[in-house]
Amino acid sequence: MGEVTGVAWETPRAKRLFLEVPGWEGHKAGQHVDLRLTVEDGYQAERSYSIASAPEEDGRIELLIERLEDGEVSPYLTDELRAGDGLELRGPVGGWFTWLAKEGGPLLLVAGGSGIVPLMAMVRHRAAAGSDTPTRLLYSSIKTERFGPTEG
Amino acid sequence: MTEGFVSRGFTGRRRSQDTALPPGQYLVEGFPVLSAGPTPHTPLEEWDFSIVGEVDEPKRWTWEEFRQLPSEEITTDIHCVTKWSKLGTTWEGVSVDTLLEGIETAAEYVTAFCEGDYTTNLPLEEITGGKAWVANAYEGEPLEPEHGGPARLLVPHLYFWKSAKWVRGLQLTSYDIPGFWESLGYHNYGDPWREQRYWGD
Repeated sequence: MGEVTGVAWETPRAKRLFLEVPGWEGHKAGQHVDLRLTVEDGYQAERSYSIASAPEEDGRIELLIERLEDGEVSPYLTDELRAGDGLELRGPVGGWFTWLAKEGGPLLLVAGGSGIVPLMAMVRHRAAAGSDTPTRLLYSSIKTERFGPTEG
Repeated sequence: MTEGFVSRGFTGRRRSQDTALPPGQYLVEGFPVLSAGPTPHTPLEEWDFSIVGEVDEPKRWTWEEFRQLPSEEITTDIHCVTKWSKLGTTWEGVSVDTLLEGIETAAEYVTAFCEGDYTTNLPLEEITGGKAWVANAYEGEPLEPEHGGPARLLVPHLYFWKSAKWVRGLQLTSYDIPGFWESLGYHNYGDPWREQRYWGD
């Protein structure tokens, strides 16, 4: 069970969620979490979201949620959820699409839209680990509704 | 997970249909393509399918021989571990029972092996008795490479990573050998109705 500690719109379509998760044992860049939402009558919906933060960022994880107009879950996460709310999650999940700085490179990262998120974790991890692995990021995004992060 | 937790302000969107989905799944209209690695493109004249391992005599079919085997139409629901489901998908393929006909074995497990070194493991009894096929067509058309063509394993009662794309054979074994995703944290068995997504579920 995680708690939302902060939310912030990154672009008109993408929202950062900061979560504190007691007992979180860390993650590898590229992994994701499974979120589960529950209605009073017991109806549940589950979705996966990649972790945007580097493993080095202690104590909290960051997700970057793309708001899908016809989505069942994403509009709730971006429009409704606020600091103090609980959010059920499990993770980290994913043993294949990960990168550790000690694996070296060179690294070619390619993403479109919200696919940038696991790569953000990798880039941040690279910086936090002080790695000088040659890295290139190729990113494609719809021009008028930019999803991706502004910072490097 | 936490008993009785309710997400403040979440209403969800229930479907009107009667058909229940396994826990945590949602319906999609398209047919997502997920793959670890590039899509292989095997020329049919190079394709073959084999039954090997703990059998008296290995069996092998070329594409032409495979297409001569009796095949059936299958209409079924499919469920991906990444949470999407499709109901009523239609396929054409050869039942694994047909492929295993006449084969005597004491093996209890099978490893499906594929182009590109992908493998997945199953108990032998999960692919026999009308539960699995080697499928070469989807929605009336030859199976496209990105969806596993020319032929993929089809085991719809388990999460769809067990329906190995680009399958080239079955290895019958006495020991259960975790395959590609099973070795990377995914559940060894993968029953969607018990939500067996990851090891330990």
